[in-house]
This record gives sequence, structure tokens and C-alpha cells, in this order.
Amino acid sequence: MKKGLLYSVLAAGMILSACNDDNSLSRSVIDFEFTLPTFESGSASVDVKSGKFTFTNVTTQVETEFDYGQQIILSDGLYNVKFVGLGLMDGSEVSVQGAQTNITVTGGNLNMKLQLYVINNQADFVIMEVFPTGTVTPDNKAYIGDQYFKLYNNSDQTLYADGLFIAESQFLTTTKYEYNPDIMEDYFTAISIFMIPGNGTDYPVAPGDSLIICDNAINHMESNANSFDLTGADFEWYAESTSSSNQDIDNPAVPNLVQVYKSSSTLWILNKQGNKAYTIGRFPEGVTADNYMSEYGYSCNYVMVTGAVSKDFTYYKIPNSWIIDAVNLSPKNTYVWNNTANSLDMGFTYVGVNAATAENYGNAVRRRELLTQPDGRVVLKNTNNSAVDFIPAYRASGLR
Amino acid sequence: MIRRIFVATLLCMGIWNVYSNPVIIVADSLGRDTIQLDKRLPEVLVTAAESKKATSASVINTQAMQHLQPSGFGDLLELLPGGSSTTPNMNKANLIQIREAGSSSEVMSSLGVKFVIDGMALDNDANLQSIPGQDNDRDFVSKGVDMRSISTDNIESVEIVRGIASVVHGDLTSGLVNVIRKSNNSPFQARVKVDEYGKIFSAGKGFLLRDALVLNTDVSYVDSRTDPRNVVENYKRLSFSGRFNGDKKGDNFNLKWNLNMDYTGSFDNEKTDPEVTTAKEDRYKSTYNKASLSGGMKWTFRNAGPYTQLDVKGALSQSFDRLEQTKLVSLSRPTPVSTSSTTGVADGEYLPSQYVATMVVDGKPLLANLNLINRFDLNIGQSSSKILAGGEWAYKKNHGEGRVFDFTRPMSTSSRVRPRSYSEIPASSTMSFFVEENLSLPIGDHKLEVMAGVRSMSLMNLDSRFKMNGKVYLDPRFNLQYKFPDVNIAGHDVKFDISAGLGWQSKAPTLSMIYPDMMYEDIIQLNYYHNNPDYRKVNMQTYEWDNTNYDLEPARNLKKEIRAGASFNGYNISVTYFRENMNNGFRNTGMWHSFAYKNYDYSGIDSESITSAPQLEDMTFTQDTLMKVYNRWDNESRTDKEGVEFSMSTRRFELIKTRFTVTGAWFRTKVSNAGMQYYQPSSTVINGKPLNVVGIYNWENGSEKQSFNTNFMFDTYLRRLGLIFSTSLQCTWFSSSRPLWNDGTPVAYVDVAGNVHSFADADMSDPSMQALVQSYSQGYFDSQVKPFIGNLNLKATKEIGKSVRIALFVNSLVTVCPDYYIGSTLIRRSSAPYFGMELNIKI
Repeated sequence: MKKGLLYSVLAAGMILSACNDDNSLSRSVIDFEFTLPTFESGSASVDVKSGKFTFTNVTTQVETEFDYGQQIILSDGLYNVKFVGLGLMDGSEVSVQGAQTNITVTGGNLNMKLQLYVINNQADFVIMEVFPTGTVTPDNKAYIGDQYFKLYNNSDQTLYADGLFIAESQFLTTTKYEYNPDIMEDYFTAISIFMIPGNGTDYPVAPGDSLIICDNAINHMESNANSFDLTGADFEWYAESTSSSNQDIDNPAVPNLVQVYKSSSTLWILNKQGNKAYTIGRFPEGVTADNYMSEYGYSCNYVMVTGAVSKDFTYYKIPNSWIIDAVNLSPKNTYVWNNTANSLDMGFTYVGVNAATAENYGNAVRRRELLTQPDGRVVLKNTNNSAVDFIPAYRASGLR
Repeated sequence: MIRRIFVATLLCMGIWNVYSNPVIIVADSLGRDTIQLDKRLPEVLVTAAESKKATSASVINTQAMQHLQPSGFGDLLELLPGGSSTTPNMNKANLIQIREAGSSSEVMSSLGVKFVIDGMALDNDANLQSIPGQDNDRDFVSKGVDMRSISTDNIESVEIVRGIASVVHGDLTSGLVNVIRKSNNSPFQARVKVDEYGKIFSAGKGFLLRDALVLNTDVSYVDSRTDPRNVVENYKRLSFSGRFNGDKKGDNFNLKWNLNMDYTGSFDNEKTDPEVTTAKEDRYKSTYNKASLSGGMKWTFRNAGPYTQLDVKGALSQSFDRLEQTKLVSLSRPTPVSTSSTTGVADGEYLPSQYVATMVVDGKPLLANLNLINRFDLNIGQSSSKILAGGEWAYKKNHGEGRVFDFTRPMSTSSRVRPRSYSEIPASSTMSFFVEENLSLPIGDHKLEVMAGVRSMSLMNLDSRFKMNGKVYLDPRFNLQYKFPDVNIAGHDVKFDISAGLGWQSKAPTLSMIYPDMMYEDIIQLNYYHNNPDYRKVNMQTYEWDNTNYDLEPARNLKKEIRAGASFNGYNISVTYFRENMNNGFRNTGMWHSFAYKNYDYSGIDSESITSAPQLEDMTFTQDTLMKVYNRWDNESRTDKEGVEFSMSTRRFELIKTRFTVTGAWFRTKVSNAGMQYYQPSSTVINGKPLNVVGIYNWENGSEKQSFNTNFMFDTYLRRLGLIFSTSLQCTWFSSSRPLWNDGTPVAYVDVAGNVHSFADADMSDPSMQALVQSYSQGYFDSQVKPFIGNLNLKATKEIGKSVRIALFVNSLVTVCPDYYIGSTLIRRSSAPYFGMELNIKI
């Protein structure tokens, strides 16, 4: 089934740019057309009822908001735009949202298309915390052996963690290249994929419970008094290193994740600047850790800064439909683009405003609490928009 | 008839050394002293002059150097055809490149150029000051001479031979830099130069001690920074020199002798800024202290028939080199380290999570050199034949303590280096013989000059396993010049000549290439990290092997060139076409090794219940093999050079007191490999296992670079005002680079057992074998062309009175660099001016 409905936002076609003598800034009027995604059920149409546009000027970081239906008039410039709203689909109210980065606003009267997504509220595991920055030793040296993820059962029933994968993006959120072919709308390109072992019912997680998955499930305070003890972690990722001089460490008392794919020949170290996106999900029937790589290669190249075309690279891709949660991380001041489709994550969160790792040690990103059920179970916020779902620059819970 | 010899120095306005040669004063029959001097004031030359001899060479004199205001020797290279001004970069070794487009990563570029100062080689082949595994621009082991260490202030003239050098000079492939230092009675001279990157002070004087004995002394000091704002990273050089030159006249001979004593200290420092850093301990310091003594005696015989000259030179130099590095190493996970440095199995230990690693590299290269040349004159009919024959012995030895450190506390956990004593490395001893005929044969009004010679090279003191042992390598070299008769046009003679040359030049491998470090691999067999420190256990298999390449041979460069030169009434023009091919240059290339080890499975051990560290006997193991590619030196580098060099100069136009010089060159340099390439895609992990095969590729791994540039220089000399003003427009019309094509597919692969299999099409579908195939996007092999870039450089020198001269320069005052597109990407270029001033005093 091809397209959902096309929707139009009204906008007056007035051109204010040329005749505004007392203000030298040119202004443009923008007319938005909403496009709905293909994977929404075919018959359904979404009727956008209300919402809010947020335009962020990329150069000045100034945010301008417009209500749905309001005429959008902006100074010319480069903008990132987000729309968060409510709509009606098959008679029930749904949340819709969409975003686009780096749109050039110039030339008076613009017609733009914005892809909208209906937020999937099906409760499952969510990424609760990502701690990529590491800590510092008492002598002020970086220590990154204590990186971890925290996953959370956000549903009201016991879920099994067996077969859940964690993947880190191949690309950086701070450097954008034009990849050819560009498959981001449908796939997530991964640099590392590790999977929780199990036969399907080995690792139950009760509603409201969480899992700690770390690089090294050891007592890090032995090496670094400023770190914490991770011997109680649920899983650790043990990376098969081809380098005899750079081997991972394995605590025999903590189960290891299954290594599905790892681009690095040595360890899997999370990007400590927080420049990457992370996803979790499950492989469908028939796809296993062993046969994944033979089926999901992604050969591409890109235009380098020198203008020349790069070598061909073979990366590995994960269809968006396998992914149940995603988060994009980027230092706020150096953000360029998301490494996931907008349908997975519309915004980004950050471990620090600046890319300087020295000021971001000990910082994680943490999902916000939405509400507490009468039984005490905390429901975390999951609107597929990391910018609002996460607490940025959160002091890692291991350090609290 | 008493004849006396003086050294007469004639100064033009007290500054320019116009004439400073011994002159013979003859008492005539009336008892009057007469002196014969060429009274014409010579031309002031602030550019390099193209040599009129058979081989192509650029000659740079003191005036040109004074006007150029160099910070180091490397600055002089902008005067060569194809050269252009560069901004100093004193935080890394300054390496030379001759007749090459773009910058090269091949060691041969700089290693193949020989530096000779006052007849003695400046040799760096016994330098071993590096920390293996650390890529450091500051070290220059096996890269030839670091031009930062050469002071320019005591230089009388420099000849840079780009063509085929005389057989007197060996152990070189691409070129020769022949430096002649001042050796005459001269006034006290001092120079202070200040620019954005540093300061230079120098002072020197030539003393006439007594008749026919001159002592030249000088001192110079350089203090430079990488960046004017950076106070913690710097380079300093201090040098002294004392040179005696004397003459003695016997009944049948003249003896000229010299004795030189030199000291050069180079100090490279880097500290971390204590206020901003998180690692206060980290520092890097590299010092070179070199003392040398050299001398020569040259007898010129008058009544010995055809035997005319005996020229003996000797040199001894001892360098005290020390590199010290301290680094605070902080680890993010427990990391095992081997405690064994021989092949075998041993328990390892875990490194502390934080420690201070130190390394001292102590090198004491001792160089000795003896050089003997006999010269004969044979004149038959109208032809004159000058024959030289001689030999050279060079000895290189490093007596240093070597790399001293604790290998269980390494600088880098990936380092597999063990301590090594340099004094155990055998000495290198090279013997060469040479003979050369210089024939001058008039053919009517025409004249043919022939320079034909051959030089041998044998490396002695080598183990019999070396292919070089007992071998004699011969370098025949020929240069011809044909001079046409002068044609008189409008009262001026037109001179025209054509030269051609063909010759081989060879360079012996350096000490570090012949005697590389032993190689080590430490493979972890068991890494059991229990929560209880008492129950942990590391077991490692260590391998040690000799990485010597016994097949190493001298690199040999075949040079061919043809040149046409003409001069007319002060106008000179010269065009040279050259080709050079070197198929066996030195390169550090990959060679595979495989190592068996045991992979212990500790899953059977119950970590909850054990009461002591597990024993290997309690575990099962799987036999495994590690396959890796390690680098070693071989003769795999291939360099093909081609180009056209041209220079043109006018006479000084009297009306505007200006001379116009154009120099330039087009170079094409292709660098690739001579043999098969071993390559292992290191990043490929298939099902958790590394790819244990190594691909063998028959591809050209390298690039082809081109550049075409022209420098236009206008120099104005206002004698009355004592002002020299030069404007140099340096234009690079284009430069380009393209990777050499290859299809990315291996021809074969080696498995862990060492069996070579041919790579069939069927292997392409095997996902693990697929990793051996490199794929390239369309356009990857396209040439990247950078369009025009032009720089305008200004230099001015003003003489104030007789003893003070001030000079200033601005390089890249104006830069024209149009934006251009590569594909759809817009490339913008920019450039910052580099400027400075200097003061010269002459008393």
C-alpha cells in the first residue's frame, strides 16, 4: 500500500521579503504538506487536529514556535523543523510527529513536505540509560571501562530479554556525508551488534525492572576509585579481539552477550564523545546471530570532504521494523543529523553541551519518567523523540 | 723575485664579499709589487645559478642566502627549479626532496640525498633514535639528514646536484647537496633574525693567524616554536665551528690543508602544559649532541709528470643522542602483560591500572670516514684528460646503551617491544673505489666534454647470510657536454651547449634496516579475571623471531637527463629533461607470520566455588593459530620520476637596475611497489573469529603525482642606495594526485598452515573470503587536480653605512587561490603570510 493521505497546512502566499524597508532581514512564508508513512495501515488516514511547529535556526540556535494552522513566517536561514501534534486515525486520537533537518528557508514562498509518523505506543523494552562517557581517575585520566546500558521493561507484563540486540550506529551524528545509496529511511546502519543469549525464556524481566549491560562486569573501583562496582551487572559484552595485544576482559561469573557483528577488530568501546545512535530490537524468525551477516550487508560510498568519492565500504544494516527503541546522542553544539530514521527517533539527546570529553565525564542520558502506576510501577516516557524523552547530561546512575 | 701569498678580500661597500682568494704578489724587475685582480664589480646574484657544467646543478651563493634570510637549510630549496617558499615547521624533522611532485611518504625521497659539508659526508645512517610503534614526525631514523641541524650562516656556497653526481660521491640515489663553508679571513659578522616561529642568532669571524693560515669560527643558536602561542613545544639548535685552513709551498708541490672542529646540539622538547593538562608527567625530549673532527690535505705536484694531485680527507664524528619519554598510562580495563622475552609459555601478569612508563633511547653513533683521491692530467694533442682515481671507506657504529625501559610497564599496551642494546649491533663498514675520466676534446671550434666514471660499493663486516656479503655493486656514470662554437650576434657571443647524462646511483641500507629489532608476539592463552584477585590467572605464549631481511640490497636509481643551455650578453637559459627509475628502493612492507597457541576454555570452572587460581591442567583447550602481517624492510619501493626543469635569467637592465629570473619545473612522480603485496583486512571478524588468511595482491600500491610551477623573480639592486629589493611571484599552475589503479582482488591467499591457494572466482561468494576483496567506487582512481595557486613574496635588504644591513621579508603577502570543485564539493583554500626581519652587523 503506497501512501497515506496528503495533508495541507494553509499558508498565505504573501511575500514580505522585498517590501520590508525598515528591516533588512528577508522573510519567507512556508507552506507545509504532511506525508504519512507507508507502514501505517493502508486504510487509515490521519487527520491532523492540532500541534506545534518548532523551528530551530541552525546558525543562531534561536527557536521559533508556530501553532498548527498559524501562518509560518520566518527570517531566511537554515532551519531544523519539528512538528509534534495530535491527529485522528480510525476515529481514535493518535500522537503524530515529524522532523526535518537543514532546510533552507529563502526565496519568499515555500512549499515543503514533512513526513509524519504516528507514535507507536506499544509498550516493550526501552533504552533507559546510556553511559558512554566513562569516568576519570583520581589523577584525572580518562577511564572508559565502565560504560554501560540500562534497559527497562516499560510494559505491564513480564518480558523476556532473550534475543534482544543492542546496536551502535556506524555513522556519527556530528558528521554528515551523502551516502550512496541512502537507506536510512528503512534501515539502521550498525557498527556493532551484540545480542542477549537465551532460548526465549531464560531471562525474564518483570514489569518495571531493568537490566544492566556493561562492557566489563568487574569492580571498577579496584582500578579507579572514582568509578563503581559493576560485578552485579546482568550481562557484559565480551568482544572477540583479533589483536593479541588488545584483549577484552571476561568476568566468568557474568554471562556474555553474543557478538553478532563488530566492525572493530578489537573491542567494542562506545563512542565516548556521545556522537552515535543506539538501538535495541529483536531479529525476526529465521534471522540468527550466525546468518545475519550474510544477508544484511550494505555496500555504499560517500562523497568525502575533498570532493572525491570514497572507497566502497561494506557496512551492516538492520531493518527499522526490527527495532523497538532508538536514541540519538550528539553534543548539543555539534549536532548535525540523526543516524536513524525519524520514525525511530525524531530528536536527539546529549551527554554534554560541548564535544569536549573532559567536561562530560560521568554523564549519561536517562529516559524521563512519565507516570507512576497505582501499583508503583514507573512508566517511562517514550514518544520516539529523544529530545523530550531523555534527560540530557544526566549524572550516571552508577555514580549516584 | 720574492713571491708571497696573501688572502685579499675586496669588499663592495663593506658588505658583499666580492673577491676573496689568495692572490700572488709578484715583484717585478723594478721591485714594484703588482697585483692582478679582476676589477669589474661582479653581478649581485640573489637567485640560484644553473651550473654550466655537464650535470644539472644549482649553485647558491652567500648573497642569495643573505637575501633569502633562511631559518634553516630547507629554506634554500625554494631556489631550485620546482621549489617554492614554505612556512617553517620546526617541530618535525625537515627532510629534503629533490625533483619530486607533492610530498612523499617514501623514506627514499630524503634518504637518497647525500649531504656533504666541506668534503665530508653528513651521515645519519647509524641514527637509531626512535621509539618503535610510535609514529613520531620528530624522529628521522633511516630518513637521511634532518635539515634543521644545518646552520646556513657559515656557508660560502651550496651546490645542489640534481643530475648525475661525480663518482667521488657515493651512497646516494637522487641527489647531492655539496656545502662549502667559509674559509677565508673575514670581518666579524653577526646576524639576528626574528620571525613568527623563532629567533636565530649567529656570529662568525675569519682570523688570519699568520701567513697562509686562517681560522674561521662561528656560533649559531636557533630557538623555534611550532606555533608562536605554544611555549611547551620547541626546537633549539646550538652549533660551534672552528676551521683552520692553511697553505704550504714546497719545492715541487703546494699543500693545502684544513682541520675542522664542529659541534652541533639539537634539542627537541615537548611538555604538556601543566595548567591545562590531565597528564602532568607526560614529556618528550630528544637531544642530539654531535662533535666532529675532520681534516684534509691536498698536495698539488708540479714536477711529477701526469700525477698532479693527492687529496686525502678524513673525518671522525661522535654523536651523543638521547631520547627520553615519560608517559602516565591509565588503563580502562585489566590488561595482561607478558613477563617473558623468549619464545615459550609463561604466566603473565595484569598491568596496574595506572603507571608511569618511561623510556630512554640512548644512541652514540660513531662515524669514521677516509677518502683518498689521486688526480692525473694527461694531455694528448689538443685534448686534455683529467683522471681521478681513489677510494673511500666509511665506518658506522652505534655504541649507545639503546632502548632502556621496563617492558612489563610499556608505553603502549599494544607495544611488543623489548629493550635492546645498540652497542651489540655490528658496525657497518663500506668500501668504495672509483675512477673517473674528465676529457675535454676540441673538435675544430666545437668542444666535447666527457665525464665518465664508475664507482664500486661493497659492504663489509656482514654475516654470510646476507646477500650483500661479498658483493661489489657498480655504479657507472656518464655525463657529456657538447659546446657549439660561439656565434657573434650584434657584438655579443652566443654560447650554446647540449649535455646528456646517464648514470646509476646506489644507496646502502642503513644500520636500522640491516639490523632491525627482534620481533615479539605475546598471545594470551588464558585470561581468567575472577572477582577475587587471588584467583586470577593469565597465561601467555610468547614468540620471538628475527626480522632481518637477508636479501636486502642497496637501492639503485637510474638517472637519465638531457639539457640544452644558451647564453647571450648576460642572458641565460637552460632546459633539462630527466627521467629516473628506481625499482628497489627501501620500504617497510608486510610479511605474514603464523603462530600456534592454545585457547583455554575456562567455562568448566565454577567461579563461585574455587578456592585458588585455576590450573591449566584443569581446563580443556583448543589449538588455535594467529596469523598476522608484520612489516620488515625490503627493496619493494619503486619510484619513477620524470620532469622538465627550466631556468631563464636576464642581465640587469641598467635603466631600472632590475634583473628578471624565471625558474620552474614540471614533475611527475610515480611511487608504487615492486613486488606482491601481503595484506590482511584487520578489521574483519567472522563469527567472532579473525580472518586467518592473508591475501596476496599483484597490485600497484601507490600514487602518481604531478606538479607544474614557475617562479618569476624581479630583483632590483640600487647600488647607490645600498638597496636590494626582490619580488617573487611563485605560481603553481596545477598539482595533481591519483591513486594507482588496482582491481582489489587478490591473486592468491595464504592459509594458517602457510599454503598458498590461488584466489578463484568461487571465493568471491564466500563471505569470509570476500573480505579480502577491496572494492572501489567509481571515480576513486580519478586524478585529483588542484588548480592554480600563486604567492607573492617580497624581500628587501638595506645597507646602512658600511657595517649594518637590515632585511625583511613577507612570504605569501598576496595569495591567489581560486576556489574549485571536486565533484560537487566546493574547495576553498587559504594561506597566511609568513614574515620576519633580520639585522646583520659586519665589523
